[in-house]
Amino acid sequence: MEQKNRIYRMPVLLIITATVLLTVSCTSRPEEKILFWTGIPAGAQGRKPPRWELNIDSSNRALLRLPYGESAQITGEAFPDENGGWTVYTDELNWFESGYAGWTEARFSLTGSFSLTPLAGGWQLTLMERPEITGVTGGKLRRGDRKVFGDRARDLVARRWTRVVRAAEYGAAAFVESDFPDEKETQENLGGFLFFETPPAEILPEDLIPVIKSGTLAEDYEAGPGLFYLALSWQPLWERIIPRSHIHEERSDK
Amino acid sequence: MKREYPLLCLLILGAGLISLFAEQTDLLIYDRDLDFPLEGALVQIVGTDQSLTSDSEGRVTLTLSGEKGRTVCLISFPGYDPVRLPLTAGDNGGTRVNLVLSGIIEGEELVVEREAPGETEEETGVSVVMDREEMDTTANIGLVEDVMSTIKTLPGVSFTGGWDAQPSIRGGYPEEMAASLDGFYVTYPFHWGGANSIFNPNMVDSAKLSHGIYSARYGRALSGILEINTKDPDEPEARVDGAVSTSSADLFIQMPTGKNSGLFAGGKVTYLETARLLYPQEMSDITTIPYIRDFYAKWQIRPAETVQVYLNGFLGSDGVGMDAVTEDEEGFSTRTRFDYDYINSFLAGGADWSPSDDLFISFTGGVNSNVMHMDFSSVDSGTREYSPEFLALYGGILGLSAGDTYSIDGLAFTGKEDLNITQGQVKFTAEKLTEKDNVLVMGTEHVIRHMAQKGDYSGWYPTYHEGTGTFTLNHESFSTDVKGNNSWNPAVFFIREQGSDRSRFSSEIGVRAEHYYIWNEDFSMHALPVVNPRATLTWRALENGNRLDSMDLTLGSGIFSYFSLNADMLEKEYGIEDWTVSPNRALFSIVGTELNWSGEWKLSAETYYKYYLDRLVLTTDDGGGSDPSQLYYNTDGKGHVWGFDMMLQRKRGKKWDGYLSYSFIWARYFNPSNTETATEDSSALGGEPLDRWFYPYYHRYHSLNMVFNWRFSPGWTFSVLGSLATGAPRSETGDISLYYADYGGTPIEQYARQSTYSDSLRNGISVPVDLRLSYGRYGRNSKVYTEWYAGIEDIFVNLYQPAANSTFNSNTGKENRDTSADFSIGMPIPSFGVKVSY
Repeated sequence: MEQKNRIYRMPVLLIITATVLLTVSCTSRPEEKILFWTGIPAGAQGRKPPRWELNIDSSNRALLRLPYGESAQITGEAFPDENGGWTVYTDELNWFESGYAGWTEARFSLTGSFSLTPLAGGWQLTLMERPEITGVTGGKLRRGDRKVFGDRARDLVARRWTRVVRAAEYGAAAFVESDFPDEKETQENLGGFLFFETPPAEILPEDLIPVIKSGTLAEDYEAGPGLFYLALSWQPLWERIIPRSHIHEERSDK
Repeated sequence: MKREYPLLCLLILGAGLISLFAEQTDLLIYDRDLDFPLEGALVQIVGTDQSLTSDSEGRVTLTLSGEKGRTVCLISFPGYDPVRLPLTAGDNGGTRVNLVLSGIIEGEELVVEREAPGETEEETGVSVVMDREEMDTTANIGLVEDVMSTIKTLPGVSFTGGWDAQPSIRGGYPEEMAASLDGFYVTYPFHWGGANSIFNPNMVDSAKLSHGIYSARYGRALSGILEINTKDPDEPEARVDGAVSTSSADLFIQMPTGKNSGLFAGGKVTYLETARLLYPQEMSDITTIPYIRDFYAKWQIRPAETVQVYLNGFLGSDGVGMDAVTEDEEGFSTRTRFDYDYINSFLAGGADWSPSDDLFISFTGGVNSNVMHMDFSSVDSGTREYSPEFLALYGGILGLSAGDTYSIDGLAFTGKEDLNITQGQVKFTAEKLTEKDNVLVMGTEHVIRHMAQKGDYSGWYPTYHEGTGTFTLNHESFSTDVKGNNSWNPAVFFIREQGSDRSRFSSEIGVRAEHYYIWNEDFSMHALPVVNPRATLTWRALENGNRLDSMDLTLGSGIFSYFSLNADMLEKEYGIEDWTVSPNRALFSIVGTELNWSGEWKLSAETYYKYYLDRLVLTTDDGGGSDPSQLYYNTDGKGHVWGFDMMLQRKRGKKWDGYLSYSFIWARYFNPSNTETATEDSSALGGEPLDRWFYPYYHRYHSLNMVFNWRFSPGWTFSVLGSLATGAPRSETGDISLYYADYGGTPIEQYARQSTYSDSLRNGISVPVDLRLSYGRYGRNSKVYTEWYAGIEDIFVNLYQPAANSTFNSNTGKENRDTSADFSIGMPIPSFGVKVSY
């Protein structure tokens, strides 16, 4: 009897060992790979047409550089699907802009997701949930000789963003004509009404008048025109530009 | 037991497999602003009907499925904005989620938020404050960037010219202004004998000139207190500020040294030595190229929310030396030697503590050291023929004829001085909030100073004899040797402050009692203790009006006192008894107003009267012989000062900003004599008259300053800094007279002229104008700021210089009429530089 019990215990031990080994092996690092796509908006011209870049690292962290240069980067997570494509969730937008009088660093929380599907000759990006900026979660500022950090900076950036979004909403409806306004168009159209000293009330929405008349919005623009550009171009960026871009896989290290 | 084995294995296997694909993670849900956990917050898993509720610690434990890849939670709590949070298996446990109350400005409404032009501690009738942005153009120009360049443009400050950093404040003597750095009195904070101050704009956060009825917390000054507040190293990231210019380099670094502590350190060095490389021949007479070497450090820690401790240290040195021989066409040579070295250092610290919401305690203490050495001589030598004019007057009497010569070998003026001051100070202040906007303040301050000074001066001086109308040349000498005089200057103060910036009425009533005791190994003296009451009352006559943001009216009056540094030289031979000598004291009254409008404009105007109750008068008397002069001392000097000053300022406009300041000052003083003899002279700088009312040497009726900064294009700033000042007093001079002098038995030819004080004669008007152009911006996608600038000081110096009395050669009588009242190097001074900041 004892001998049978001893023999019967062996498979149990083997199963336990296998389970442990399987658990350990599944948490070990996968093979190193970096996936890299670039997307160039359809119809983009010039020697260096604006482009966006998506990068997925070995930890499935996604990094999406928007066509604003190095200033705007979206981070998120990517999950592979069974067809060789990916589902990417956008979590956070990191923004930096510097100018003459200072710089602004902002961290925005995002919702949204899109899928990346391989096709013959390229890739296709399909929005599942259009990425939206839901709030400001962090910030740093420098204006003149003074720096602001922590909660105070976050609150200042958040209030500035609220004003910027509102101004961009009005600007998009009233002035902007092209599908994807560039920085020059942003400056020409928004700059025109941001610096009114006595804004014509019959033209402007009531909630914008105090922040224009006080010069607050003008200071926001001087501190960082890029935020206005970001706000103005966000919707067309995700509805028309990125999904319609020519997307190429640049590199896949396996 | 046998049947349980398979079940046990399956459970273990299952647990192992589940562990591959499921993890637990904790969420900690908090109120962001109040920092406390939210119990009962709802956590919903998006895409499912699963929901959880947080416990009393705000904790919710979620099981994340690795198979699903990603879990999104929606966290909500009544009254708070919901938060959407994505989580993935593998996320660390203990994720903190901050919820914000709904309706908070963030994301809800558009806030009018102009950049505040600098909320400062400025008070009408009390003080003017300049912060670092406002000092950016005025302080950062010239050979040595200096905060005093900005202070000299403020209302109530008399014009001094570009090479004098010790201005007169509202008619008072320059020495009547005290300087403090973070609450610590700094003795003689100047370089190059007063040409520049030690206050580098790169280490300063703000400069406050309190020249009205300033608080009884402060003493040791009659005209005003310059309070320098240095930058606090409280940024959570490292920072570097550097600058290189044509004459100097600065570097300051700020870095956190712990969670709640930081260090700020840096310094300046000049490198005018490069001029010797470029112009070796012209610079060969400069034995020590003018230099400044400064180093400053500040360490600050906040060990608890209510406690802050800081340490300040400074070590600075400067000097200059020359050895030059000049020859005139008559054959005389003059060898001029000058050697000056100065070391200034201090180590100070302090602590601020709020044990409760209504109590604040501060402590400051430290040690100051000043060591100065100066050595100069001017020696004439040469051989010359007697002039026909001299022979006509004295040839017959002295038996001289044409062609006879005389020689001078070592007709000299010499001086040597060594000064060593060590000063320790402690100050304790307690502030108690007794009821809304009412604060009681009490404190005590002790300053102990040790001074050793040795000075020897001698030279040949012409003396005018009224009776005969002639001059004689006499050798005079003057010596001081103070071996270790000590002084103790204690003070106590009590103050009641009522009201705040927002009150309709606010006031400060205080009293400060001071005493002065001096002693050395064979002498001691108690001065008369003084009690100095002070009071100011401010009425906010208007606030948030249609046209004006605010209008304040201020009345104030008080008594101020201080013991001159010269008093430290008292010794036994003066025969002064205890409790008989008073410090310098003045009664000062002021009325002022300040108007603010459009959020960026300010107009302030103040008028004042100051009556000097007691003033130190130092005189010398050699009795008309060759014996060394004796020093005399009394505190019976008097003075009246009244004036009016105003400032119109636009703070940080979008395209331009700047200010205009104007000061009118009328100041008259009276120095009673001690010996009442014709041979007695005042020891004051500028040779003040005795027994008559006079205008002091620095007095100017009108000083007008303009600072204009024009930002004509993004990144570009063009600045104009101009001053216009009426002239300082100049003496009335007689004709240059030839006279015969006996020099060691040899008759020599000398020239002199009588010079007497004049109430009416003035130097010419001064009109220096400086220009500065700068371009600065941050690099693209960079936090590094670079600014290039070019400046030029005194652009009209070659076209116009304010006239002063002519000078002449005492050996040849040759007159130089082309003299300027303001010191200059004869050409505009250019400066170029680049500043980098991260």
